[in-house]
Amino acid sequence: MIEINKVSKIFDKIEAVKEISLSIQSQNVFGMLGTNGAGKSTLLRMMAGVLKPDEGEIFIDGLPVWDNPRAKGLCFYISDEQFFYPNASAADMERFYSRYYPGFDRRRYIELLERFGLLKERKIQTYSKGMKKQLSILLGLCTNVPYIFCDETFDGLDPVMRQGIKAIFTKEIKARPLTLVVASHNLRELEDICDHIGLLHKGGVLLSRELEDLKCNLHKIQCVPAEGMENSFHEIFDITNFEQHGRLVLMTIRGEKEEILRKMESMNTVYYEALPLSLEEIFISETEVAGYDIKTLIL
Amino acid sequence: MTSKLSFCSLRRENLKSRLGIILVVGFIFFAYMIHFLISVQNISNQYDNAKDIRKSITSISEPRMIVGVYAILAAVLLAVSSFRYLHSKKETDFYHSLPIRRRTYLYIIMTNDLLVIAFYILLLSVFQCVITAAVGYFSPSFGRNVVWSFICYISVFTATYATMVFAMVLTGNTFVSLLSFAMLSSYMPVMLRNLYPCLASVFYRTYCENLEMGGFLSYLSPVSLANKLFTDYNGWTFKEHSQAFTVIWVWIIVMCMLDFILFERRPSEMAGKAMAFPKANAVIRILLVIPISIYAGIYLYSASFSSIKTWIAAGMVIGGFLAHGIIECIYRFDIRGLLSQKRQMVVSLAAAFLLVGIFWTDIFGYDIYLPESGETEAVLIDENYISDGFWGKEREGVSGETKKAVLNTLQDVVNENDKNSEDCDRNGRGTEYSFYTIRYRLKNGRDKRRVYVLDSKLEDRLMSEVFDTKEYREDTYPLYTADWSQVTNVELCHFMENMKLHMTKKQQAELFGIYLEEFSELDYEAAKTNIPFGYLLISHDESGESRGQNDFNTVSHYSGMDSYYIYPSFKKTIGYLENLLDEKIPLSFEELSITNIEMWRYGKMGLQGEYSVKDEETIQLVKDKLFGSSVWESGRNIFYPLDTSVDIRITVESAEGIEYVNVYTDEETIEMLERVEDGVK
Repeated sequence: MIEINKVSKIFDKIEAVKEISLSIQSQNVFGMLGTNGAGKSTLLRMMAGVLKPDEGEIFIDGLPVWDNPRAKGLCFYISDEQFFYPNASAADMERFYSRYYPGFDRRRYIELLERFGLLKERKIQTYSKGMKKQLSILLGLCTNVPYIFCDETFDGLDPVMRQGIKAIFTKEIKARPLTLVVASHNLRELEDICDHIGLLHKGGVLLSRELEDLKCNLHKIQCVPAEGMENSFHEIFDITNFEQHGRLVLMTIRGEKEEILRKMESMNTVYYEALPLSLEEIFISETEVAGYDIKTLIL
Repeated sequence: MTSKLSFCSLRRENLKSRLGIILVVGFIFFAYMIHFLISVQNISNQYDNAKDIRKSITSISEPRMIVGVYAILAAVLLAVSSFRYLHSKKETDFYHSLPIRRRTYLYIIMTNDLLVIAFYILLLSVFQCVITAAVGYFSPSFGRNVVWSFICYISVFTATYATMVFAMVLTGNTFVSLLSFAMLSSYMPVMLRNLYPCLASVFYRTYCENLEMGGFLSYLSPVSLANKLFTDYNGWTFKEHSQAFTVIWVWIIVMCMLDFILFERRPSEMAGKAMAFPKANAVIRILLVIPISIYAGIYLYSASFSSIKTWIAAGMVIGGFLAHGIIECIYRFDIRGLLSQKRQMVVSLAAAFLLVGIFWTDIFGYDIYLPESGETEAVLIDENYISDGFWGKEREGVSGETKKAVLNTLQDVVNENDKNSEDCDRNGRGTEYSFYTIRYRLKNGRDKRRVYVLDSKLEDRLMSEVFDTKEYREDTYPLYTADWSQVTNVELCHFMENMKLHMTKKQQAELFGIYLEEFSELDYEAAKTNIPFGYLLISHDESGESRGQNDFNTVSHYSGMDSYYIYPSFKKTIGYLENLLDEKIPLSFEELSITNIEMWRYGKMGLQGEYSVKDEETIQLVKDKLFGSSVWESGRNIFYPLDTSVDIRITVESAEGIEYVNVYTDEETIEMLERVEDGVK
């Protein structure tokens, strides 16, 4: 478990991170969402022990991270632009990381390299941007650490590769204790992989929820109401979004699904249907409640 | 975690990642190996006897500056390659996320670099030994030299390396860290050390350069320490360099401690910025702006021939503004920084002006300083500058009643110094003014030195007080107290020619004994009215004792030569010399046939008058007043009132043909020659 206690970081009088407190449960995929400059990378770099918080402390499995090899040995940080030695090959990087991470799984590494079509002896500087990203993810996975921090890692990967990597992560999480913290400014990147989402804005946490909780509590209903019933929806439901196109009404309603459907039934609607809600729509609804316009923040 | 990791493997990994630069450093030392090989070959071909070859080869195994420079270069290269990652966000993220303590990583890098250089220097040492042994000239001295060389190079490398690491950690950009290293290496020994002499020489009329003052500052840089460690005058010895050794290791310890502290505290986010510790920026800037603005002021003042002191203020404002602005631009990597932090710029300039103001107004009364007789142990009087190459026993100066009389005269000298200096500046030194360096040896153990401009009256007064005293003579003329065995050569420098005196040590002692006997009898009145016809030029070995007195100085002022005028009244000396040379020595121009006297009088506007006197009667009248200019150039003060502003050349006819001799004479004689009507062109 990662505990972040009132962590702040100031760069040149700019508060990049403001008293953030978060708990990231183990065996979880935590999506850290936010615009550029929201503080995602700074928080991730502090979690990886690269930056020292000006205030507060970060613990990984109860160990303070800052300059603590034991805590840092539990995590692997994949930055948005991973560094590789000039002239190094994938094999050289394997040798390098296996010195720092004694649990490095060489066999798996070779296997994954082959699976992703990365040549072991080829110089990394001849790799494409996406291939470098893949390599850094593979290196992180093979260190066998329980925490992997990815900063904008899925950007630059083609859809096939992205799905491939996500599949490996999913499999890995099931196979061993692994917590993944993924920072991205793109909600769609996180939608199909995260269990938990934290929305960062201007250095603070706007929202941090389990994705299932978010999804369970919000529902999109499409219906054609009975004559004269259009205005009564607002009295009956906790509506976060309401759109009407002719007679067709599209609503996002907060509440239990069964309860909502039961009420719709009782209102003698001509037609109603519960539609799947995208993570984007959930966020629009949730942040609007908090007084933010999510579209200007992350979409 | 770190403890579980193998240091050796981490070390190996670190070395592998910097293999290129390690090979470059190796090439530098390889180049020196070739150089050494060629030197050995050249020496073997140059000398015929084995003793000379052995001596020469042994001497090239001593700690050498060239290898010191290589060690400095290697230190800079290795430190930059090891810590360059701190200046890149990408690399900082990579290294600082690794499960290893920062101090452990620093330890790995630093010890790795030290091992690399130790390996190369060891290789060089072994190579030197093997080559020397192969040609059959290896000796214990050679081996000892190689060991000391190894220690010296390692010391210089470590000091430079630790300083460069400090610069790398302190900054967030490699170019800025190279600038910082240059600044760290030159700030104390160059910028600060020369500040006082520069200011004092501009504002104090009586300022006397004292090389010992602020000498400790020259120790506060790895580069100047290397210079001290490798400079030797008579074979490298540890004893001679122990002070530099001590300081260099103190420097290493302090720098390493700073490196460890700063490395641990260095914020990783400063990668790419100019400076890594923004709080120190203002302090660093102010420390740089103050001296730079002062130097800029002094530069403009020196550049203006009119020497108007307001140029100093103008230069300070311009220099301070530019220095402050440029540093701020570097801090921000933005030209708009030129006009930022105005308040701090004003503070820096105010501090600089305050410092200059102290000198300008002579707030501490430097120029009017004269110690009380009661607090003065003795007064040393030097005709020109006190020579650091004094080869007699240590100078003590005049004391007792003579000291009191001298101080009394010096009171008038101090009072009239401003006037005399201005007159001297305006009219040139000519015949009227002389410079005297006075060293006040105070009872509290301190020394104060001043240079005064004395007009002829004051000089006459001062000399009449001291010249005839034994204390002054023995204090001013080292031949009285020197170890004559140090003498390597004696020449008679005559107004017509120089003659080398081939003498045994016994003959030298006899000559010196006779000379000093007659010189002691020469009183001031006689010295003033008689013209010496030549001087004894005595060359001598450098004295270890005299060098030891200047711990903080180089010995470049040490001449190793001393001169003593011979007056026509020194009959015994002349007799001894004539006997030795087996020829008669002309004692004045009266003994020569002069056919023409040409004169050129120069003023501020150049040549003012040109004269030629051929009248035999006039020539006969002035012959005994002529003084060979080659004799005057001996450096010793001459008390006969010569006017050196007029160049005179005489034409001498002899059996060998015509010779031209440059001479000087007194003002009265010059006027007389100018008055000779038929001589005026």
